[in-house]
Amino acid sequence: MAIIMKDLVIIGYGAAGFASLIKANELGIKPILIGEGPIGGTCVNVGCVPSKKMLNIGEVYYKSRKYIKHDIYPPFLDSFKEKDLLISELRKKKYEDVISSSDVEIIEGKAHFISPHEVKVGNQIIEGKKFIIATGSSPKIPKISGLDKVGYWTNNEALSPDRKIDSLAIIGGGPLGLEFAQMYKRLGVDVIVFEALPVLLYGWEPEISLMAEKILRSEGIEVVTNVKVNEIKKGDGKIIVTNKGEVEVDEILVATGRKPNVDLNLENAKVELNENHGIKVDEELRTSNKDIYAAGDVIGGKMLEALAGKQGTIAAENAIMDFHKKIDMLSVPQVVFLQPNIANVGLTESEAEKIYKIKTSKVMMEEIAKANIIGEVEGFIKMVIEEESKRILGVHLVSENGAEIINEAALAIKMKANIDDIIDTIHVFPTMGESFRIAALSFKSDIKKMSCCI
Amino acid sequence: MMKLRMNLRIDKSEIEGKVCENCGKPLTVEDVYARKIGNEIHYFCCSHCADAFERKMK
Repeated sequence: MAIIMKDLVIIGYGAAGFASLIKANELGIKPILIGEGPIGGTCVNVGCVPSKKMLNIGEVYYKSRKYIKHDIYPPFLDSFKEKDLLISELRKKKYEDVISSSDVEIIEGKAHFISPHEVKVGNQIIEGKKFIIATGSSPKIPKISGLDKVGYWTNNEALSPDRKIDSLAIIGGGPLGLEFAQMYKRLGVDVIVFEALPVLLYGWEPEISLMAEKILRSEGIEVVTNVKVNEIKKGDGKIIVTNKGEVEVDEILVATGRKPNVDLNLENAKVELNENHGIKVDEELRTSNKDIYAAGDVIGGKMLEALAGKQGTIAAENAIMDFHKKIDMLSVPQVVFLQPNIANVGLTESEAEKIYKIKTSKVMMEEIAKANIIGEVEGFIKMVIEEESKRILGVHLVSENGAEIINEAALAIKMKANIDDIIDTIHVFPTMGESFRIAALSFKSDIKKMSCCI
Repeated sequence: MMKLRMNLRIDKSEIEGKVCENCGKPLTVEDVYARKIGNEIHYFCCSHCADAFERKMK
């Protein structure tokens, strides 16, 4: 049996693992990278990249239908082929080529810890001084009678369907469920969303939950909240039986969240789990074993591509250099790529008012010149500030190109900016990004009584 | 397999909009307020209704 000794062993070759690899190389370390499945992990293969490509295809046709008033829909299966081409290109450019130019030894296979400093992959034992676990997450499947027997899709199958479907029921009204709802509706499929909680996007600002439902309904997507799915049965199609009635559809997509991939015999490494069933880490991403770090979805916190990448970088720096770097979690933005985009960063109003004396302001997008110019006035931007210092604590929005706007809000929160910092920063007119400044200005003035370039 | 459009057998009244948990007023993007009470988030038309609801819960 081969035994390999390494300074750093990275388990997982998705976003977090790759970020760790790149940082390790920058710091002069050649790590071992252990992974299984397609290189690149969830994001490029079955996550952000393919889903945003499919949403983009749907958006192009949706806007075309709206403006030219002609009933055209994307070619169903060919659209997914177009997506596959993009994935192949990006996987090669951003992962395979990066590996080729990196100083790394790759081992393909599933890793299991056999001691606090050793993992086994096949018949190889790899001993490491430090480890970074970045094994990502998988779809979480609820226990519903008949679900396994009748069959269902996860995001994996929904991004590579084996056939054209005409109707889809989505179980789960979180970010993933909402994006797939709009994606499939705009591909010409009838869609219904079931959410067990009282609103979609539970835990987000309530305005956002209401607006998300309004956006879906406006496109003809059925939304049922506060609902319990009791059973799945086989009929001509697949029948979902709930406490509020039933629906029969071609296919069911389960989008009830994701679970961390922690099947690594972590007890042998003395690595503990947290209440989310992810790997328990401190703010420096160190696990309960001081020589093992974790990064990305496997922690079980916010499962975001950009955050996973940053965590991978920080974990590598802390592991190799014994630094004590942390991530400012308050300034981590999150986006649901519906059109218009839904985004947030920082504290919600209810979270903030438990800590600070706060003020909030909400500006509807119809007040923003650019929104009127491009004919996309749906949405709003809400800002939460600390009353005395006027420091920005949270920004929540629904807006065309909102994913671009939220980056500035994240920077403002990270830099502890107050509304005067934003008001005093000249923003380009006319842009959707200007809405961020106008939201800041709305704490001081009645923006309905202002001309364009204030 | 036979292709189905969606066969919905759910009462439309079950999928209507949200209302304030205290006063029953329909919630809108302009007038909505959320508060976590215990382990659950509750939805109201304003903070006054949240206060009243919380008083009733005690």
